[in-house]
Amino acid sequence: MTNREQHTRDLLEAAASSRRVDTEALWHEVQSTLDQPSRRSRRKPVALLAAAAAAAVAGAVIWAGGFTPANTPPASTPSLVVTNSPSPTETPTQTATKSPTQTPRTEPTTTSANPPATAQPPLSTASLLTVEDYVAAGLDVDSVQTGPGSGQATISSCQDDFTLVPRSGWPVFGGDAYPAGATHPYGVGQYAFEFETAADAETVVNDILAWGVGCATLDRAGVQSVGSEQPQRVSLPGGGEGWTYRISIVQPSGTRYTELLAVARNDDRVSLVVIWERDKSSTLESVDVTRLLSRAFERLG
Amino acid sequence: MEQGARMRQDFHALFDDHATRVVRLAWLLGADDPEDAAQEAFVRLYERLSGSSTVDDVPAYLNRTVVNLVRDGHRRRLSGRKGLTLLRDEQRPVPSAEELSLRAHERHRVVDALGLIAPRRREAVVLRYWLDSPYSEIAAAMGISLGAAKSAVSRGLDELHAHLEES
Repeated sequence: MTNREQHTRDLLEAAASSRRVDTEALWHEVQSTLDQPSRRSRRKPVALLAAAAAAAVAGAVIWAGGFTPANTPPASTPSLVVTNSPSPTETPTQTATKSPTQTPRTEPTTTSANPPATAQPPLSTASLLTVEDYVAAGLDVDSVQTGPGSGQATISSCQDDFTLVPRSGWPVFGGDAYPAGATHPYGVGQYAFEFETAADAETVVNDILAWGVGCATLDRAGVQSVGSEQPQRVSLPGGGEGWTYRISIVQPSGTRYTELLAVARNDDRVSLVVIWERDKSSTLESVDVTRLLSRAFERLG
Repeated sequence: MEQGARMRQDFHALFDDHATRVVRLAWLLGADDPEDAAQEAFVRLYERLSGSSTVDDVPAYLNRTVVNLVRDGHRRRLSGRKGLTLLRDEQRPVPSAEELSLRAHERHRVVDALGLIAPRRREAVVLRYWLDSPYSEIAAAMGISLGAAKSAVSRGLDELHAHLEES
């Protein structure tokens, strides 16, 4: 074997071994397919979400009240990091230290913060935010592309390490919003999901709220550090609830990405908006998250 | 133990032995949803094993199935090119945070480079240099002659390194 061939083998092996595989979840899928009379492939879009939305990160710890790199805990800050991401039904006030080996784990809760669903119109691109919605929330968006399926990959590279359970989401609609002009690099992606039950939707919300913590446990090249805020619950008009938090990712080059996640749930439906910004965070600072989530909640039907 | 349950148990053991490799193979081949391809491959394997057919070489069968599934996916994409995704790609004004993050990542540099070479050559390179498959197996998995397999490996390797040097 030549040096070039050996080099190719090494590169492919490195690439392949970095691809995490959740064999347990996959076995589950295989089994349920085999147990169905038609035995057809039935994986549904939450896998797209998992592949399309969680962040690229390595070796950092998450502190309350801001982004702090790993190993530099503020002396006065009592170790945040959420081992259990706040449930949609509780206010995230607790702080706890996270061990580097811990995996964020959320348990599905059976309670529902929202009233039982009445006849909702089917999920569609109308369930996604419009240009007017974004503008009302303080973003200078001038166009939105929407359609069935996932939107563009919205947050960073650790997302493919997370599996959202249960995978009952169906259908999903995605949208990308584009800034007016190209003066500053930021972008917006949105997903709307519908699940079989409100409990499923709630579990997925919990998963999303744990992404920031989970990202910090990953040992990834290409990412120098990651930080995350503790998710905050936002009360919305009409009895709805949303949650928001930010993740900060620093690459070895020093480039920083700040990503704002905003998630709203309406019974068995979930809307996720991710806004990212490079180097600065001025755009994110100007976002009216409550308004953004209110619109997202309303559009879920 | 009931025969069906025992078979499922045996199949689970077989699944455990091969699942990670199969998903990664689908991923390296450029599958849109590697887990889905792997799932389908295992379901087909189970159906075959539980029917009257036999499978002499399980890894080779899985490899072949995944190659075909991913190739079918590529075909479908090519035939449905006017979709939203292409529109998005054309209109996207700036790369997403993820794209930029991933670009800095060596593993994605390789995967990106793989994505730039012709699908058949990509298959050949992955089968040869990741799975260490002999040319005869590559030819069988790809449904081509031995000579064509050798040619695809060689040209694929040249292309891959050309793209790696450019990136």
